[in-house]
Amino acid sequence: MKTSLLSLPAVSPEELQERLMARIPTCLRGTGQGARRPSADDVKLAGQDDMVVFYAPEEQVVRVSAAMPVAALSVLLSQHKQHLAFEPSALAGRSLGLVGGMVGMNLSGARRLTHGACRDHVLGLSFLDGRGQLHRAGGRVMKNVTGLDLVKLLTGSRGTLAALLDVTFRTVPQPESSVSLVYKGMSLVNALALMAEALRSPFGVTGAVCAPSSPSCEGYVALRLEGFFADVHARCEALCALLAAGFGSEPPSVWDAETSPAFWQRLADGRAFDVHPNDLVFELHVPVSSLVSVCAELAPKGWRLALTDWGGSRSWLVGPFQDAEDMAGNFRALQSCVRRHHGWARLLHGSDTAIHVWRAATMASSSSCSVLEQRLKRAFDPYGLFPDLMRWV
Amino acid sequence: MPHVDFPFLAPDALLRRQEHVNALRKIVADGVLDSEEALRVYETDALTAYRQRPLCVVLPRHVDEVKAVMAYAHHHGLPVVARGAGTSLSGGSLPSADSLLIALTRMNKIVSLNPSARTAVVQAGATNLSISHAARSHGLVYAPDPSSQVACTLGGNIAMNAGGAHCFKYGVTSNHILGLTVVLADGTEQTFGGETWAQEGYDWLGLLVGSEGQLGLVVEATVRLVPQAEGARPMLLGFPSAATAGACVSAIVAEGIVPVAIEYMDKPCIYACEAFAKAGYPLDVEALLLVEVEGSEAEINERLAHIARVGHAMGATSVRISQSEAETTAIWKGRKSAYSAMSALGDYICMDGVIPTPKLPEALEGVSRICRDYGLKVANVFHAGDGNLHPLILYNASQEGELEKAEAAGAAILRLCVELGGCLSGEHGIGLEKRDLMPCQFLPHELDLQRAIKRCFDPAWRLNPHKVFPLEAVE
Repeated sequence: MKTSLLSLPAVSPEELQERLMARIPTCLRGTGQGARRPSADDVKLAGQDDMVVFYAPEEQVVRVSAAMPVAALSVLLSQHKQHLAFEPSALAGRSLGLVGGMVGMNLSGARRLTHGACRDHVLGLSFLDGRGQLHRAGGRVMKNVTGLDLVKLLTGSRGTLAALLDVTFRTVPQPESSVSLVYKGMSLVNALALMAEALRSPFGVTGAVCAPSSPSCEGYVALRLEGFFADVHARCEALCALLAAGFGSEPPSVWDAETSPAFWQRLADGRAFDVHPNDLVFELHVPVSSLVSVCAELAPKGWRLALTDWGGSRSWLVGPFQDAEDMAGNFRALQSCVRRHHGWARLLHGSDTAIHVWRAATMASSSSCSVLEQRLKRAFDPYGLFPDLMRWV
Repeated sequence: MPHVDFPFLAPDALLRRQEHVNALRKIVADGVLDSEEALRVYETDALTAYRQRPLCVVLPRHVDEVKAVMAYAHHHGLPVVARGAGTSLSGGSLPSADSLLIALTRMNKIVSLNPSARTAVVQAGATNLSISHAARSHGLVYAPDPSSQVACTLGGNIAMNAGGAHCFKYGVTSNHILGLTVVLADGTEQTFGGETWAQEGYDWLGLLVGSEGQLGLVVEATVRLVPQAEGARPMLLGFPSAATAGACVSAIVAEGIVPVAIEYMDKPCIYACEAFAKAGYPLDVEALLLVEVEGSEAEINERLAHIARVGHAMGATSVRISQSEAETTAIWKGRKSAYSAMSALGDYICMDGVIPTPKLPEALEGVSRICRDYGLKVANVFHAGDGNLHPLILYNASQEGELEKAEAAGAAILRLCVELGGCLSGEHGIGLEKRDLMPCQFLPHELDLQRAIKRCFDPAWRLNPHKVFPLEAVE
């Protein structure tokens, strides 16, 4: 569900503050790529001439407006051979949007497993609460245990608690080199075991993704190694030897420093698998040990595993369901299956009908934290100006 | 001994003490301490200048006992203070006279370890180091490594969001927690997160880690483990001044090198640590950097050579790379025993401010100036890579007024840290020690919001109630 960025009213931080102090309901949007349907409350943060508040590469810190495009931030950092270690990534089938949206949704890529998520690299935030008061949480230093950690709380809060104005990130040097090992023709069970063994090794594996075989795609497991330039190939060989000893599989292909980054960039750009307009795409989080069981339970109902990342901990399921009744039953089945395996799922891509049906299925299974959620919401937003609680996507 | 003025939250608690002790003994049969002698152990933590015996101490063995004790405290309006190993340097587990102190040291098991998933489920009372001990045979370690790791507990680490020497590369506790089991103020049990690497809903884990016992009692955690590095090696760089050593830290970071640790020690500390550990620290320098890198042999050699070049360019007068496992062990033993070694010089208070790394020279000059103005000596040993200062302000505990002078100097140093763009605490937490400095960093409405968040979890303000937030703000 996309909202045209051009059609939204743009407000400066000062206008946003006045709007909140006047108790006008406000939904601060990025590029509108979340599944939430548009509403009359939607506004966007006006861009400034200079989106960069400050950048100190020697200190490994950058502070930017929430309205800055993520792509532009990445270009700026790369000019100093730095990057955001958590690998900003678009939702499947979407594109990279704005910094505020990325932080609001805690969007994190393949490197999350080894280098942390977006929330682990945000050092500070400026935000407006639901009273229109301006706050500064965190700061510009990596270690900060002064009071409650509102930086982590607000990262991923999807605009339901506060309006983010600017973000301070920790920046780190880009890896010197990247190569990938690609295995073909493995079952999901073996693929998960292979990825686990690789991620436990000391060879600098920073990405582990698996696409099952399908009529349109030969399945593969891709393992990315990053690090010291002179080492990466030796580590590649050592990892191959380790995995061959444990799995005896066909030798993998090796994507070199030219080819490897392009694959992982496609994953980060949300293009690792095709998403068609009528597709229903869910993001699934279950313990790796449960993924095979979850897939086995859902496959007979028509669900298809498109890709699994983070060594199997994050997956994307595609469903073929078109009418509301079909969706209702299958969404309930998905929800029930995922909960039984101590996981959760969220709808990433679907029609208005799908959003409506998923919302109903999600509300029906209330979170054990719902009392705390409601209290927290009131603490930040006593007049209910921001969108309602997170599960109302 | 300065007196700690904790307003009573349960005025009749002391009158009903025996009644409470008897009732708690029915919940935790052989785990309630109430004799003066037994309580003495729990009357202080590592902020030893302050002592206060609690109402009684409860040592539960199981989460059901924790829930029942918390429910009892909720019903009777008793404040609750949690304690791990009592290593808090900010008075985080200092009790008030009317509070139940719940010590979690009996809940100290590694419940499970999953090498394939690189996770472990650990009870709050387990020591930090025990997790890495359990994981090592699988080629994994638990990365956060505070200096007290042989004794400090995971629960305490979570309460304070502990860091350690290697957090420059690996991050702090908050970056390694995937799940928490918490007993809330009313005695109910709540699980947040678990074995998934992203959580549904709000980042409760991020809020709870570092919340200093304000929001609930953590009884168990799912932690992430990282692969052991292929190898690691430290080097020592000696400098003729604090300023040049501080500037070298920025220079190393600016080169795009990511050491696993950059530690700083000045001359008084160097002398004390060398006397203690015999690591071969140079005694003819004003300041020392201990820099460690990890990786393959080739990478280690390349990085150390690069750092040596940076050091020479920044004026290092001595550069020494460890040549053996034994030398590496000795070098780190010296650093990790700094606090104990400094005790030989006398009493001190250990501060914990953070500044942006380019401000290191200015901050170190400020620390010296402030202590000089107060007529006190100071030694510095800290995590330079992330700007986390630990000035050790020496004072004579037997001389009246000296502790107060040291505390005033410490407060001035922390205010300086905030002025330089840093913050009041990098890893020790606010606790009691820095509570009254919070308005230096937060505006009134910012503190109001944090207090409102605390009330979401603890409406009656009974959980570690006299810490973190200035007392006059508590309603």
